[in-house]
Amino acid sequence: MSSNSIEVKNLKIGYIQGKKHEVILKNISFHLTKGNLVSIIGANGTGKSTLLRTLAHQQPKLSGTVEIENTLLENFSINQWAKQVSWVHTETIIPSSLSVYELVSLGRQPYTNWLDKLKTTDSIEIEKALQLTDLADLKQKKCNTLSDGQLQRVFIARAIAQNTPIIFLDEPTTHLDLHHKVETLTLLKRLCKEYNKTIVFSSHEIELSLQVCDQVLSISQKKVALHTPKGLIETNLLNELFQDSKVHFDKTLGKFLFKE
Amino acid sequence: MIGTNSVKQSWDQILWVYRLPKSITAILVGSGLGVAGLLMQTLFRNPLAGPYVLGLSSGASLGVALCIMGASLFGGMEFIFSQKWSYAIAASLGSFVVLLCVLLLAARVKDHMAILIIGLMFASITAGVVSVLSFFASAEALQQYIFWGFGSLGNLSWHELYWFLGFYTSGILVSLTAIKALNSLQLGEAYARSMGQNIQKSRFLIILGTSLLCGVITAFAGPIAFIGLAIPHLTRQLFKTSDHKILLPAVLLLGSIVMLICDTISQLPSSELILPINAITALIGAPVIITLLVRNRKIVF
Repeated sequence: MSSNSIEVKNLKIGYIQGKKHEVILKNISFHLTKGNLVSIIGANGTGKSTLLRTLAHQQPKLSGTVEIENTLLENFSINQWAKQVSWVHTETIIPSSLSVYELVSLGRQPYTNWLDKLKTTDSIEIEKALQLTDLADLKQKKCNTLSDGQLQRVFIARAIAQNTPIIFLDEPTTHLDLHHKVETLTLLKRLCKEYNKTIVFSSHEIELSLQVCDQVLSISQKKVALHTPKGLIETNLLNELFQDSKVHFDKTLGKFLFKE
Repeated sequence: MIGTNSVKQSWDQILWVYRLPKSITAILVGSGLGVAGLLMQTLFRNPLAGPYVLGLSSGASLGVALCIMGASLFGGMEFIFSQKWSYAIAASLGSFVVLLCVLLLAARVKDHMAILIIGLMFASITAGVVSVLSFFASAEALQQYIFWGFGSLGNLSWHELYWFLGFYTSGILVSLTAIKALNSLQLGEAYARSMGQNIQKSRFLIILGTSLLCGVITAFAGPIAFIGLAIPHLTRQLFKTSDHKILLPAVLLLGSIVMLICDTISQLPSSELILPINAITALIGAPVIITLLVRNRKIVF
């Protein structure tokens, strides 16, 4: 079972408000293997981000277990965790004096000393991340001068520099045009295959996800299920994803179409 | 140092007893407030945060007010309360409490402006408490408090300066340990945590460092405006980096220089007048902030 990268059993997620637990999803069980690109799909407000944030240890789970590389989530020290899992979400304020190189080099923090001094190995990892994301020419630029697509790549580069076997991304394709969406997803795919990373991201890009991902976690009617893209198309789940909606999923075209 | 013996003696006196402690105070005040401002701006990720704006100086003032005016109310413990180092402790505690309150509330409201307004409200609350205290205080104590409130870099003996230096150094040392956390906090707490930072610990260190610095400076030199806000901005403009292991020493340097310049101006060359230091820092600091705002449309963080 060593190829088990992420093992989730009977997980219950939601928010704790005082003594009250607001449950968003329960009975979640699945396991993800190494080197796979996995997308989490579902309508707005179904708990995609909550699930991702819980897996990424950004918010506490209500019950159940999450094992990363056969170790329970809660048994990691903060620094060990930072060497296992990196986390990307772009909905954050970025200080404008921060340059691309500085932002990417923050990814080396789990490995640097108390003064945050970069060693040669750190510089090599940063350069590698910049090369992979095609940012080498932009590295001296300030982050507030970049376009959305470039900024997205900078954040992914930071996660690559952190050099972790697992990467979680919260909606990495929002605000991007089709070209940049495809580019970002291709980059993620390449990271999975060439560096044997496990990458999980939440997305509204169902059609693109079906084309590029190895596995898809669907959230519909309060149930989380893991499918292969082909398997997901075969089931009728994609039509149940958006209830009472004006679209339906066409299996032969692999597309969402307006209902006549 | 030429001239007759008596002239030389009086020069000695001026230099060693008055001018040198004053310059050292200026250096400590400028660099310390600059660092406190830098820590606040990064922790709150708010370009307008600073010890004065967030009400830390008011918290420190309350501590000092309790010492000066409260001592005469409670009586019996005047010896303890009239010592300058007890001012420093009370002021540090005062700013620590205010900062903690602001931080707790800031976790609930994510809005930049709301946090600043909360800071202002805390400043009003402490001002209210001080008014009540001054209503009951004796005339001498009230006068002493008002003079302290003007802010002054002079008036410190070498003995007091040692206390100042002790508190200041511990504040700076605590801030140095937070450099790495400060770097990652620029991307927000979620990112900082994901990069292996113990947020609770680093937040505590940052608050501790800030309140030590802000408290001791306010206790010994009075509430000094604008320096804590303006210095970090000037430094970012000049050094064009956001790496705190460069920013922090740079703020120390620049803060000292600016405060020494302010001090020199306040001496009014070729005159016996000494202007209140707060007037000078406001006259220099406020235009700096306005210029930055106008030039960049929005203030850079």
